[in-house]
Amino acid sequence: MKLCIVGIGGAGGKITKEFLGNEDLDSQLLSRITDAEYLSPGKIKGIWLEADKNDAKNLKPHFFGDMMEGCYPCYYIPHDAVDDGCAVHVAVREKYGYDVKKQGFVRDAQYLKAIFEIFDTDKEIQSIVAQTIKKESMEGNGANNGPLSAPNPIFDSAWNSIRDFTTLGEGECDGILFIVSFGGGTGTGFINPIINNIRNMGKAEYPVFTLGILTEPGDYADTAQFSESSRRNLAAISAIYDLLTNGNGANGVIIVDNETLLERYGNDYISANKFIHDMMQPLVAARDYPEEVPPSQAVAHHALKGLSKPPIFVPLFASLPRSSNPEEALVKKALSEEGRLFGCTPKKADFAFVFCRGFIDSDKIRAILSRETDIAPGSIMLVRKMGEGNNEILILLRNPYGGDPNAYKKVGTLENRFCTVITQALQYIKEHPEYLFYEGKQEEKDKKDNKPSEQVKLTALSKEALKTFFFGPDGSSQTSGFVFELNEARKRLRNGEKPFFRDPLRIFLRESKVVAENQGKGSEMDKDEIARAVDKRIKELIEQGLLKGP
Amino acid sequence: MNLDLSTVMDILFPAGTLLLALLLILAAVLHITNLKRVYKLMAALRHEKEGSKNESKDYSKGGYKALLYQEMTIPQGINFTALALAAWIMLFVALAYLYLLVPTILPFSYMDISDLASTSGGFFIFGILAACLVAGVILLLDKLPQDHRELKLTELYSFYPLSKFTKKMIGMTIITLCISVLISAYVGTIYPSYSQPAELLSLLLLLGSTGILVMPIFREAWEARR
Repeated sequence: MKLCIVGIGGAGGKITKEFLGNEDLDSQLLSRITDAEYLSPGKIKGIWLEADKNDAKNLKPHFFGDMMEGCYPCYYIPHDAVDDGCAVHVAVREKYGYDVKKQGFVRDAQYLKAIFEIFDTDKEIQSIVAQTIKKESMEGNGANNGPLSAPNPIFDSAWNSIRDFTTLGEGECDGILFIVSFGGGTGTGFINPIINNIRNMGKAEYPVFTLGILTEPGDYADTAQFSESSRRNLAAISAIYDLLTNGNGANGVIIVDNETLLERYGNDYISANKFIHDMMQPLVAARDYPEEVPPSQAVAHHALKGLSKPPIFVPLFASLPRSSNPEEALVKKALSEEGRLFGCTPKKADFAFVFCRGFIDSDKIRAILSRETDIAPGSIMLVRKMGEGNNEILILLRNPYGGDPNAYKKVGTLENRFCTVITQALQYIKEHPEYLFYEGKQEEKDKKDNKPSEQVKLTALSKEALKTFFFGPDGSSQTSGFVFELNEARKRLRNGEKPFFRDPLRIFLRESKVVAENQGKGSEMDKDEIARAVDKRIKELIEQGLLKGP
Repeated sequence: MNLDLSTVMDILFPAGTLLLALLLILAAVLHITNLKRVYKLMAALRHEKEGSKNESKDYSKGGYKALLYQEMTIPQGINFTALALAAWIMLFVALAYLYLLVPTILPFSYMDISDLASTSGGFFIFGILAACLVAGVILLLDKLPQDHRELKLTELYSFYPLSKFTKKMIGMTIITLCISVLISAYVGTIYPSYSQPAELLSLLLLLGSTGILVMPIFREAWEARR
């Protein structure tokens, strides 16, 4: 298992930096003599995707260089695939009001979602893209888009910047780990479109995981980004909603609560980022036990086993000095409040991945974890690595919630945390509906470095699409729309049901008969629905005598 | 009991030499023990894998060991590896300069070949010869099969996690070892005169550098004791 680390947005970049440090001695003179290559721990490769070029250039200390200048480690600005004032830029702005060149400070998940869906659905825009955008910027080194893919300059170029690190290109990474902050600007907006784009390009089986840091409830930690808590919560829940409802999206969403990190590290973000790096080492580091090297594909397969939607993984982490028989202490520490990085009820988990570092007995770990959480030993997948110091354990509990109607009232449960986020998001929508359409005074709050940001002026077409997305076709939020789905999700959380997010939503629906066929079934068919449709059709063909029955 | 300075110096040099020898021998033993311990632990922890899958594999030729070493390997970077290798070669060159250039502890020395030793490039040739000899041995060891990687000096640090600071320290030993060589060369230059403090200083630098070079082995052995 070798993952390509892709940080998206400011926070994603800072965490990715921790993973991509050079193991070798940094000496330009020596490197010239030895022809040394940049070497990250465990030979990890990665990249930082950022929408704001100034942020990327000014991140201190200067760690990332511009990919376009051949630097490594590097950042890439996907928006640069579209030239300022080019035909595509103008056409999208005139028809929809969206500025595809707008930087990451449009702090919601819908902005980039809408842009992705415009390229995905609008034949006219697709035609302009095909005619005007340089082919190489979208296709990279001669690789072609998949059969399902519409030309999408921003997200195609983003994927091209990643692909060469992966086994789908010339690299060795057999999976991708996206690192984002849920509630920020770029990461929140970018994560779903980029995953959708990878999947649309026909890479349906390629393992893709997301590590997301959920924004904290208060306003104190994000003053630098000048964004109020409820707004960040709407952005966060929108991104998480899309990730968890897209059956063809990520293979799992590992979620860390920033509140937990703030409790431990206060505003010391450097230590918090370092902790996230350390916590992920049992998963991403090298030195696997011989014959126990799992390909990412196997992990991805187990992550989704028995599910039609991507699960939430809550990480539990413990690190203890080396000792004999460390298993009991490690598992217990990881399961304790101290080890949990997100609120959860471990006994409610239906599957667990355990990644260990050190000399660890897997049978003991399995038995202890099963005893402590009631997860069947057969539902625990264990991966061991030789350590580099302390014994460490990272447990990823799959969907550790549900089944308890009172859980949402208890602090420290997943239900409680998500109910809080949803409530704040709904409150924001109720109090500032105009902000959803980038109207009112909200843009003034987006000033960065004292430079006023340009106001987004959506067209009637976009406004109508967004209105339908948020409030349903009748605008009442009583039967459909994002607000309706959030209310339903909160009810499910309160009733102890899982999953709490179910139906995927789009802002711009696909045209053509595919949409018509899918009406009444939701806008996208998940794997189960496809399987049922195929079974039905086979049955019909058997009945018609065109196929031989079993 | 009254000890004069020259007596102390007379004791210090052999004692330092003994310490240096012990340090190197102990490091070699500990390195092999460290890897053997890992091998044993891994064999014990493979219990759940025993059965159908592994029975079909032949590990009698050290196949599992080679696989274990492959997985254990930590790439440390080519810059570091080059510096570390240079440092080890320098260590043996410095040893040769200290003990073989002039008769110190051993009864024979390079000075016995006075025709060569007294030429203008005599000391340099000695150093080059020592370096080539060490490099030859290192290269020879490097040809050992994959299940004997514990004996390869080129891969010594591949088995230990090293911090950037440790790597820098190991790289810096080249400088201290160079100083040690220069001091030993000075002792050779003034031969048959004799400078005990210079010899001791050279030995001290050698000891310090050796300590840094073998530190990761000792640290691992210390941590494994828990």
